Amino acid sequence: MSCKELERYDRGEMDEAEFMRHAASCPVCRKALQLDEEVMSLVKSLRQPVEASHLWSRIEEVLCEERAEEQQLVQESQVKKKQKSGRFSFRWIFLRFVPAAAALLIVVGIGVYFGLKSSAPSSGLLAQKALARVEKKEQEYMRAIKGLEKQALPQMADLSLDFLFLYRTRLETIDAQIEQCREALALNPANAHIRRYLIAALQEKKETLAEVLGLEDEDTKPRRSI
Amino acid sequence: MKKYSRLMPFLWICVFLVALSSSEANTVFKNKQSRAFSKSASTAPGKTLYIDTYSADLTITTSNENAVTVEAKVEVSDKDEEIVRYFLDETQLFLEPYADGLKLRVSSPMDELRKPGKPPKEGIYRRFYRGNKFVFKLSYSARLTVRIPARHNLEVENAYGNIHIGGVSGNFHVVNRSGKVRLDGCGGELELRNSYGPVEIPVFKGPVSINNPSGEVEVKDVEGDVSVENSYAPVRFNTIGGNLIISSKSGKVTGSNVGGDCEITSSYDEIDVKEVKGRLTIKGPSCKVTAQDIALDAHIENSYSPVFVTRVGGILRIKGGSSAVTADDIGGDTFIRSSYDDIVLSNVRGSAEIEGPSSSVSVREVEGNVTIASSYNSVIVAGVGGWLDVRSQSAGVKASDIKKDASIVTSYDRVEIFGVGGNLRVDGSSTSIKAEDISGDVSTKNSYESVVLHRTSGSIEVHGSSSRIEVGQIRNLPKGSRIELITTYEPVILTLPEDADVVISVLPGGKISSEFPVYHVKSQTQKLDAERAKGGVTVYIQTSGSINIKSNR
Repeated sequence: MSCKELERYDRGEMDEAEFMRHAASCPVCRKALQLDEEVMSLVKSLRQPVEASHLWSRIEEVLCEERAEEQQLVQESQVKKKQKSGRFSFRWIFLRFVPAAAALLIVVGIGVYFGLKSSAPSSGLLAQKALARVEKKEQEYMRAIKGLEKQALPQMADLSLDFLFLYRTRLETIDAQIEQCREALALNPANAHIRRYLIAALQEKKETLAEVLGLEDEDTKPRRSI
Repeated sequence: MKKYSRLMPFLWICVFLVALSSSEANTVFKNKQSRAFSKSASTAPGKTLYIDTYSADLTITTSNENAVTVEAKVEVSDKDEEIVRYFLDETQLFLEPYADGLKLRVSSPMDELRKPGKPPKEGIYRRFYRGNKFVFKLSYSARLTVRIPARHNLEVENAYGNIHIGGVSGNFHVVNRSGKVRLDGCGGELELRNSYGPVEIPVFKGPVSINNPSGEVEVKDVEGDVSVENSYAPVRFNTIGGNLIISSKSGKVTGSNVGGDCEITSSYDEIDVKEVKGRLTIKGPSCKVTAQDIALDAHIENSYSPVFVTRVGGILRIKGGSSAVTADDIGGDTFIRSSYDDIVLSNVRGSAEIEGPSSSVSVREVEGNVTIASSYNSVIVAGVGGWLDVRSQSAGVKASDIKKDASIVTSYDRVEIFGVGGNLRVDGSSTSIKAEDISGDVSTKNSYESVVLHRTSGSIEVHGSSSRIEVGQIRNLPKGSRIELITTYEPVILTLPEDADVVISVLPGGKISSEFPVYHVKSQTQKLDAERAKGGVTVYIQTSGSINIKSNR
C-alpha cells in the first residue's frame, strides 16, 4: 500500500506540518510514521552501531517466531483433525487408531526434526522469506534516513567546522560501506553476512543523523572549534 | 492389510501434514544446495599458508600433524536449480604449493563475475541475461575449517566473512573487510587490517598492529607492543605488556594495565586509561579524559571536556582548551593550562604551574612552588611547601599555609592570606587585602579598599590610595625593620607592641592620636631614617585622613 502524499513527503515536496495534517486522516501515512518511530526508538536503544547484533538477533528472533508459529498452526490443524475424529468413542479410537497414531507420531517427529534442522541458523544464505523481511527492514531504514537527512543535513551547515568535518567524514565512511555492501549484494543478494553488515551501516547512518539532530545548541557554538 | 486399508487416508493426511510442517524450509530452500570439500597437503612448522577467499567464514585451528587440512562447505541458492547445480559443479577448492608454503583458495564462477567490466555472455552466464540486461539473483556463502601446525605463518585475504584463528603461533598478516576477526590464544607477530567489523584479540604473545577503520577493537593480554588505528568505533584494551599506541579519529577509548608507554589520540568521545607503567600521552580534543595510576609522566591535551587525573608518578602536563581539570596525587611537577572552567589540583609532590584564564583555580597541598596565572575567577590555595606566585587580572585570591614567599597580583576583588612563612607582596588596585600570620616582610600596593594586616613578624610597607589601613597584633618587630603606611583620605590605625622600640614620623593631613611620640614632617623626604632610629624600628605614616597609633597593652 502506498500513498501519493507520502511519496511527495519522501521526495521533499511537502513540508512536515502539511504531511502531519494529512497523516492524521490517512492510515497508510500513519502506519509509515509509526514505523519510523519504531525504527527510531530501535536506533536509540542500540549504542553499538557496528555490531548491530541486537537488531539482527531481533530479526532472527522474528524469523524463528514465524517458523514456530507456522509449526504451531500445523500442529493445531492436526489437533483439530484429531478433535473431529473425537465423535468416535475413545475405545474405538484406541483400538482402531493406535497404529495410525504411532505412525502419525513417527512421521510428525521426523518432519519436525527435519523442519527444525533446515531452519537452524547454520546457513550463510537467507531464505526467500527472511530475505524479503530483511529487504523490507532496509527499505524502512532508507525511508527513515531520508526523513532524517532532510532535517539533519541543513542543520549540519550550522555546525562548527570541526563538527561539520567530523560528521561529514563519518557519513562519507558509512555511505562508502553502504555502497560496498550494495555492490557485494548485487552479486550475492541472499548472503546473510553482507545483509547483516548493510543493516548495521544503515542503522549507523540513522544513528549518526539522529546524533546531528540531537546536538544541543551549546554544542554547535563556534567556541567548539579546536 | 485389509484391516488397515481404512487407515490409509489418515496416513496420507499425516504425510501431507508433515510435508506442510516442513514446507517453509522446503519451499524457500528448495534451490539452495551445498557442496562439501576437503583437501590436505603436507607442510612444516614455520611455513606460510596463504588464504585467498571471498564471502567466507574462516576458522583456523591447530593440528598435531605437519599438514594443512581443509574442510569447506559452499552454499549456493538461486531460483534456477540448474544454475545452482552448475555453480557447485564448477566450484573447486585448491590447496597448492605457493611461495614459501601453500595457497588455499576457493574457485567458483563467482570469480568471473567479480572481475571488473560486464560479465561474459557465454556458457552459464548467458542465463543471467534478460536481453542485454544482466540480472543476477544467485547467492553464495562458504565456510572453511582449516587445521595447521601450531607454529605456522598465515597470510589471509578475505571479505564479507568472519575469521577466527585459534592457538597458532607465527607471523600473521590478515586482511578482511566487513567481518569479525578474532585471534584467540595466538602468538608471534600480527598485522591485521579489517574494516567495518569488530576485531577481538583476547590473548596474543607478541606485537600486534591493527588497522580497523569503522570497526570496534578489543585487545587483551598482549605480550608485546600494540598499535591500533581506527576511526570512530570504540577501542578497548586490557593488560598490554609493551607500549600501546591508539590512534582513533573520534572513538571511545577505554582500558587498563599497560606495561610500557601509552599514547592515545581521539576526539569528541571518552578516553579512560588506568594503570600505565610507563608514560602516558593523550591527545583528545573535546574528549572527556580520565587517567589513573600512571607510573611515569602524563601529558594530556584536550579541549572543552573535563580531565580527571589521579595518581601520576612523574610530571603531569595538561593542556586543555576550556576543560575542567581535576588532578590529584601527582609525584612530579605539574603544569596545567586551561580556561573558562574549574581547575582543581591537590597533593603534588613537585611544583605546580597553572595557567587558567577565566578559570577558577583551587590548589591544595603542593610540596614545591606554585605559580598561577588567571584572569577573573577565584583562586584558592592551601598548603604550599615552596613559594606562591599568583598573577591574576581581577580574581579574588584566598591563600593559606604558604611555607615560603607569596606574591599576589590582582585587582577589583579581595585578597586574603593566612600563614606565609616568607615575605608577602600584594599588588592589587581596588583590592581589599587581609593578611594574617606573615613571618617575613609584607609589602602591599592597592587603592580604594582596606588593608588589614595582623600578626606580622617583619617590615611592613603599605602603599594605598584612598585605602583604609589597619595594622595590629604585631608579633615581632625585628631591629632595623620598618613600617611604612601611606594612603589618602582614609584613616590609618596602627597598633604597636607596648614595648616597641620605634621612631615614628608622620605626614598628617587630618587628626592624629598616638600613644607613642611622633615627629611631624612636611614631606616624605624628611621622614626619619634608620640612623635616627639607632637600631630601633622606623615608622612612617602618611595620609590625609586620621592617624591613630595605639599600644596593644
